[in-house]
Amino acid sequence: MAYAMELNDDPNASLGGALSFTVFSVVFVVVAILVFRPLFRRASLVQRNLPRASEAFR
Amino acid sequence: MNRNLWLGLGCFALAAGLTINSLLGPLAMAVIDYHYTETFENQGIGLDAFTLVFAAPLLILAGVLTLRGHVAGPLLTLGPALMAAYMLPQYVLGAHYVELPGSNEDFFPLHLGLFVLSAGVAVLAWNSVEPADLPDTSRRYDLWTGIVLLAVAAFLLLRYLPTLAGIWSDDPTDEYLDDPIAFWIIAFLDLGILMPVAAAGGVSMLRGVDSAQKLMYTVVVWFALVGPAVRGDGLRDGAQR
Repeated sequence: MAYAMELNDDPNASLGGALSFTVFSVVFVVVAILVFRPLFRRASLVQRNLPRASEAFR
Repeated sequence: MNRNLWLGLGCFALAAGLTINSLLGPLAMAVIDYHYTETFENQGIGLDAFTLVFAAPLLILAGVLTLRGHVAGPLLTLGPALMAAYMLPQYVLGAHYVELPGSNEDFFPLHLGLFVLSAGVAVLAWNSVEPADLPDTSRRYDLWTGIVLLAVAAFLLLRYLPTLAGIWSDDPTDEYLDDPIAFWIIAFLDLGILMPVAAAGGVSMLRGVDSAQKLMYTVVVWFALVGPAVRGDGLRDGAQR
């Protein structure tokens, strides 16, 4: 949103704000990747008590 | 049909609906003309772009993972589904129907339908994950994720304090004066729902409560999406004061 405001010459736009929020966003996306990583690490990730969608029609 | 199939199909339907809404908006076709102030319209353009580039593709990825029975599928679904459920009321409630020109009321059924779909997909995703499906975590993992959630709660609170202080001392920011309705809608959602949920999740993770894991994934993936999409205005607000 901040970049859209900057590109459209919005009177409330601020390049400094846009850049600082970009840094903040990148940091939090990295945090999210670290949080979700264990879910993709193990072989036992398939839900134990639910069949796969393809098995519903068997 | 089982829950995974319904959820997977719901992800694809929501991705399609959000894509159509973004393409109809001011970013692309401008068929929907929102009764917005200049700043709010520019923010809407940014949100439409973010939806097309990140949220919709993430929903498709989550749908594919869900159909394959991967536990990450429903958890990833919660991010874009809750983001949509959070943003769609703002499309409707943030407009100035009398003061500014526009036509977004003609698309009320679309926005209402997408809101219901996003909330339904989020509920289905939440119910699709059993705590026993989640991987065991170390105490260290619980601690640092708990701190992250508390940091999210603190950020949400601190984001609004400068603007609230300005309002209460009769020295409001220019952006607040530009669109007070938008400010109060977002502040109400953030401080009334998201901040308490993040704080409760953080405390629960620090205390090692097993069932808090699902909440933790939900807050993190939601904030990873909504943060980049909308948080810039809060930082800018603070910088301007």
